[in-house]
Amino acid sequence: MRNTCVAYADYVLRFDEEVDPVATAPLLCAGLIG
Amino acid sequence: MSAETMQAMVLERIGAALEPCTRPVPQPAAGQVLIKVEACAVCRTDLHVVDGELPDIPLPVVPGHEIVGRVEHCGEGVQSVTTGDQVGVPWLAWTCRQCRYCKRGQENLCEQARFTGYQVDGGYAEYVRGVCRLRVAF
Repeated sequence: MRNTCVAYADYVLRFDEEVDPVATAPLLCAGLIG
Repeated sequence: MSAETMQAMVLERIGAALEPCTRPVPQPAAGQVLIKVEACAVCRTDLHVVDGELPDIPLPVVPGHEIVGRVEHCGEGVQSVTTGDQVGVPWLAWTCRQCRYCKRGQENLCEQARFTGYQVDGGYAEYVRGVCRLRVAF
């Protein structure tokens, strides 16, 4: 996944690829993604 | 047509168990989107909120800040996402964009920052409202 830091300028992050919600949700914390 | 009410898990008192509640579905203002939650993980910070270990927790609040869902409805002026898009909502919910940190691209340090599931209702609900300013593609 790209753009791991500039996403702090964003508050809703659009996934361009389909993701598994359950697997992806925990990654949204603490800038792991986003 | 979106539902008018939703189920949410709400923190009513510090240290108490979350209570299932029926709440109005939030309406997105300009620059905001309404998101139908697909998943919301549990973070240690959610437990800090529940235990009152963060300052000035506005109660009642819906915790949860690791959210994946789909855009249900866009508020006025939102162009970066559209209905049906799969999106994520992180801890950082809003920043001032004016302070020295924001201007340096360090919005996570903004002294006026608001956080999802803490000062802004989070994802332990059927719907959550998110602020949509820019788009970041993964």
